[in-house]
Amino acid sequence: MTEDRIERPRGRRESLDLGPSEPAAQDTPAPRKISLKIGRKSADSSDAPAPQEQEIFTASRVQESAGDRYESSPETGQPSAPRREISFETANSPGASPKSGGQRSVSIDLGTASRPAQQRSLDLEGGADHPVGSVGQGIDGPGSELADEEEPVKRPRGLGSILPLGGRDEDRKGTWKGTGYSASDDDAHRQVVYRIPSMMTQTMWMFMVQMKLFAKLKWTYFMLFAALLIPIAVVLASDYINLLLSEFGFVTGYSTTYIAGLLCMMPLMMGLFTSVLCGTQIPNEFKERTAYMNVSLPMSRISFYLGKYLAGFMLCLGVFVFAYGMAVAVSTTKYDLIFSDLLAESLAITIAGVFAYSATAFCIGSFMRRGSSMIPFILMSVVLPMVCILYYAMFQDSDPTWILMLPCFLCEAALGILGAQMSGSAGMIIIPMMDMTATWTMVAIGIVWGIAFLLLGMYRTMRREM
Amino acid sequence: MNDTPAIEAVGLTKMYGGFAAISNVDLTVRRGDFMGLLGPNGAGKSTTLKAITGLLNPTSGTVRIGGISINDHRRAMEHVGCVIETPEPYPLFTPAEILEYVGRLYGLDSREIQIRARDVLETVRMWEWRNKKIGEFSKGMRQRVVLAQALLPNPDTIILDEPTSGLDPRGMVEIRQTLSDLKKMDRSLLISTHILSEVSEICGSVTMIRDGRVIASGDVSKLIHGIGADKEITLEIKTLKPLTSQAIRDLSGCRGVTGTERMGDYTVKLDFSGTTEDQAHVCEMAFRSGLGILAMNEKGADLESLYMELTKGDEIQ
Repeated sequence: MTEDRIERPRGRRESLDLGPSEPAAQDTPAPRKISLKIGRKSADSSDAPAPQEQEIFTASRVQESAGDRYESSPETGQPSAPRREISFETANSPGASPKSGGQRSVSIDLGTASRPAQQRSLDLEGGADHPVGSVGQGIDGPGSELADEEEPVKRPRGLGSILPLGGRDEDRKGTWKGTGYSASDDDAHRQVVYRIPSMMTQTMWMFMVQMKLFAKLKWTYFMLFAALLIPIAVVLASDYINLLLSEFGFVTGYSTTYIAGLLCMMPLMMGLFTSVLCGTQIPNEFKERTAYMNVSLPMSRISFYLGKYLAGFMLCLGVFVFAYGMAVAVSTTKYDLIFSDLLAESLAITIAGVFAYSATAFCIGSFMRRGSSMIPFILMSVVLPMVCILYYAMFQDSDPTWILMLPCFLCEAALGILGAQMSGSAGMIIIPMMDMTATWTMVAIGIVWGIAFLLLGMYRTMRREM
Repeated sequence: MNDTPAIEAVGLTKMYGGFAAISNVDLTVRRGDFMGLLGPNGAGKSTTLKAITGLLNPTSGTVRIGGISINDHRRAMEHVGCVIETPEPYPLFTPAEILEYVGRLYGLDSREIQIRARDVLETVRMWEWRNKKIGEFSKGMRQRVVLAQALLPNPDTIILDEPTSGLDPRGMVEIRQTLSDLKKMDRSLLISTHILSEVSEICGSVTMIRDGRVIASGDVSKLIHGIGADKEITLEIKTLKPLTSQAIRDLSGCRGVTGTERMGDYTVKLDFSGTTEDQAHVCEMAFRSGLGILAMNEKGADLESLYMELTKGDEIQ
């Protein structure tokens, strides 16, 4: 009798195969056959009558008793040849073949035994090809189909019977051989032992899940719409926009100042967007109690932290790069010449600014259990610039230009490179005083600032008690 | 045979300032064993479970899951499914999306996720809701989804903190059945619950905590009989035929029987404080009476009595 407790294979998942799709003929293992004598006469082929009608059995679980048993022949009273007793739970085998000798015997092909009618059916959609490793396929995604129960089966069953057996052998690893499992065990999937992927893979999955969450948030679409407002406003109210830009000195003979004018609200937007997207992630996890599910998974908190941060950073970066693209596209309607080197430098500073702002917001959020997302915004876009400006004004004589290199002024520097004399932010008054030859130093400081805050937030998250 | 315990906590202590939430808690769950963690409110059950699963860092003590220290959180939790501190899944996701996310983190590929997700969602009766947003679910439904994500990766060890809270009676029964089925598959379970019948039904061993300390731990029946040996219990016998005076005299004359009380024509209650052999003798005598025994219930030697005995002093004032 087989054990009620099924021995689970250990080791790598690669040692388990979900069944080959269409094994080559030479690779098909010979089905294991067990002959048993159900009849009453002894096995004597010389007295064999005509072959009997084929018996049909379905074996869902085969049990073998230990040892052999002897059965007396009712005709002769003599013990017949020893036979191995095999009991069946149900009956239906396609592999039965009659035997001669006045006996009814059945061959059972354990490798091809079909499941009884009560086999659970899955209404999974069909499809041979489906992307492996994509997020969002769901349970009903493409790539799964219900196996046709009436199809003649010549290959191992079990998981292979309910999975689509298309040509994607690369999805299956290893082999069922030597695992000790019956290939016809429908519950085999409950015995599989999985191995967690690497930290890098888990970080990537966390990143993809967070991006998917962003895709469901209204804020994401608001941000994209804000970037789209640039061309929309110019198209709908071009005269008014041009007048406004002229008033503030953005309309010159150069396209870069025009671009800077279209992006003049970038400092405020950067503080706002990074605060909302990056600064609220960790507090929201606690507010909605999803953090307790995430932290108890076999995932390092570093993966959790970095995956979420990278998603926020990439989204914010995407929005601002999109805004740059919109501004450049609109400026081509007015100017023929685009200064790509200045644009590239401005974009690089903006990227460093997004990194610094988002890391700061994320770090502040990791210290909060619940709280306003405006704290990073107020800090980076209002408080810090005002403090730095006051310091600069008070200590002008000692030439404290270094303070203007802090990351809170990176957006102003990005606009200043393009020739802007002002911006829509608290730090706009220092643009004329900035050293535009030291922009790469500002980028480096922004990156170091971002890394420092990122590490601080990571340390806080790792030590945090739930 | 692998003798490594599924969960082993030694000397767990957690201090919050000068307050000891748990103090020197030792807890061992053998492989294949189901253990219940009982205790009054504020006893330290959740703190113990959080320390075991790495949600908080104990002040002192060690925790090993499957022989792996919890300091190596990823490896220790690799074959563990847990539901601690009433977590919630992302409200904007559907159950299918949550299970796909969890499955990916555990190393399942897309097909395995499809199969396992179907299985666990059907187990918790959430299959028809698989593509609905979790934010629209009731508390009980969200609880089921969380339980499904814990069962998805075929964990060796399952740690649950009041898994049936928020579920309707049918849901409770089905979850209990699911957990009972897991026992046949050589899984280990540590469950914290206030529902004593759950522990009686599915757990073979129990650990009781009070004021942050372990007050009892071990096999359920041994613990019960441990207190039963010094405690009087009540045997209630229901007969098919009306009770006779002779039968009652015979029963009251058995060793260990300290009192009898007739509860109508067909029921008699015996106050009993003897040994288990004496109790067996009482049963034999009852059968020999010829009255036809319909039922014989033992009251007082159960988990509830054990719990009430060990948590004396915590009554509501």
